[in-house]
Amino acid sequence: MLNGDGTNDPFLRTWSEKEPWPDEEEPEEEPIAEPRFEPAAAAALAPEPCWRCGKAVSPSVAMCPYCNAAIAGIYTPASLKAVVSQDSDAKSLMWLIGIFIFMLVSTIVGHGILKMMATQPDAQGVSPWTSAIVVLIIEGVDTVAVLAALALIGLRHAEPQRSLLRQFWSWVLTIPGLGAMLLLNVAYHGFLTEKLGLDIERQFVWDNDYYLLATWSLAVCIQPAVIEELFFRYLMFGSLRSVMGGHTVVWITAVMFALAHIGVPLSMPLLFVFGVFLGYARWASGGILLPIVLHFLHNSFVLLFDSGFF
Amino acid sequence: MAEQHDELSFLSQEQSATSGLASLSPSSGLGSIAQSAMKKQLKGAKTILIIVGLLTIGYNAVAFANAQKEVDDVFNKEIALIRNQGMEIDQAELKKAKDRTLLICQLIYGGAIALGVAYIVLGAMVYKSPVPATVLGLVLYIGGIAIFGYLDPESLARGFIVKIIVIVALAAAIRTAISYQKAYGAKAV
Repeated sequence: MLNGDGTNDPFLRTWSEKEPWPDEEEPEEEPIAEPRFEPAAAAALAPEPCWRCGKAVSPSVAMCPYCNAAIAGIYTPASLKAVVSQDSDAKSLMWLIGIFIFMLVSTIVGHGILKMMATQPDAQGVSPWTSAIVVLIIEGVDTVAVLAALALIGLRHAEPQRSLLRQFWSWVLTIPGLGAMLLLNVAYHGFLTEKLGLDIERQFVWDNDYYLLATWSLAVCIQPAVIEELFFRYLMFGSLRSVMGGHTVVWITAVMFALAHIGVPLSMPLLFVFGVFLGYARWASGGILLPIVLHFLHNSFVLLFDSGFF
Repeated sequence: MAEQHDELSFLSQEQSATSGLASLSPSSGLGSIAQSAMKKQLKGAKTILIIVGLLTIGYNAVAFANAQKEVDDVFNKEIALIRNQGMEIDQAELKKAKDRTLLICQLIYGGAIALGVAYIVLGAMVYKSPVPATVLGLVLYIGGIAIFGYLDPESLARGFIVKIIVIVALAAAIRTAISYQKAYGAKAV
């Protein structure tokens, strides 16, 4: 693999035009740490930068000795070199946290408006259409914010692509996982209402109006599945993955996912668990399509269940 | 003079530090100066998280202990208003409503105490896992403000400047933690 200047020296390799290697006449050779597992043929392989920390590592080792990133074994050999090795971009992380704050504020404001409308002296509660439209407006604002983040920060290549077999099994094994999540959802809310006597008000009142049901589907099933996954499991996951291990990223994005549903505070613990499930689905499959599908199916079931179809 | 120039050029590259550079190795004198500067900022984040945690636990522990009294006061006011309008109250329903309200209050205050404990744990972890601890600390702090802002919008205005200072300090600590981890090759958790 040639450098931009035609040389083949890995220590002079430029991985990003924005952040070139320091300009030194004779770059110091950084000693490569003793690899943990190294077949005999590995000695002949030139060291490659680790896809996460960027340090020179033999490509045959199982794990990077500096940051514990998996190198060999679970990734396809071709994809290891194809990954855009990103430096931890603190600036993009700050932007994403800023957009997360913006989403929280828009949710608080939207639900505040609904509460004010419901508590007006002459009001007889908020009509289902009004609720649906206010929710759509909040989500429209969030959609614009997330798309702006995508345009600002760009695509995030979190890690090398998983092997096809692993992707296949990740899709298959999430089917029972989704079933378990739905059962947990019903059991948790049943526990809150029956045992603790808490009043969980039904949000998706549709009065046999299919147009209203379609509006709720857009607001509750389609938009969250696409936009929330784009933000939490694509942008945020990608940004954090370059500085953290996979497990930590899954749990942190799950916390953020739960907090983003501030309009339903009693459901936050369940949403945290759901966020963990989606995070591991994202990590195992290596792509965002699986969590989008799972999120859509889960929310569709909840919508139909709460609307009285089951 | 050459050493000072190297130190300055290193410090100017701090925010865009790439990994694996010999000039950043902890063994060199220049590296240890930068390392101690970064550690100082991380120490600030640790202090903030622990103080916020202790204050959160303290305030909400007192509120938890007073939850029954708080619920009784609110209900007694409402009962007085209803009785002034000449209406009677179903005592069984009143007890159910009081118990439900008390449970919700205890859940909220208990959750806040757990949040305070989380801040302290994250503060203790700042040196060991700087990036996860600072990121999660900031996320939980913002989330806590948002949750209590949703439940009681007036709480958003209380201590607004202090909240902004804490958020800015934790955000700065994240940047330092990322630079620290990249420069000194801390194992990703």
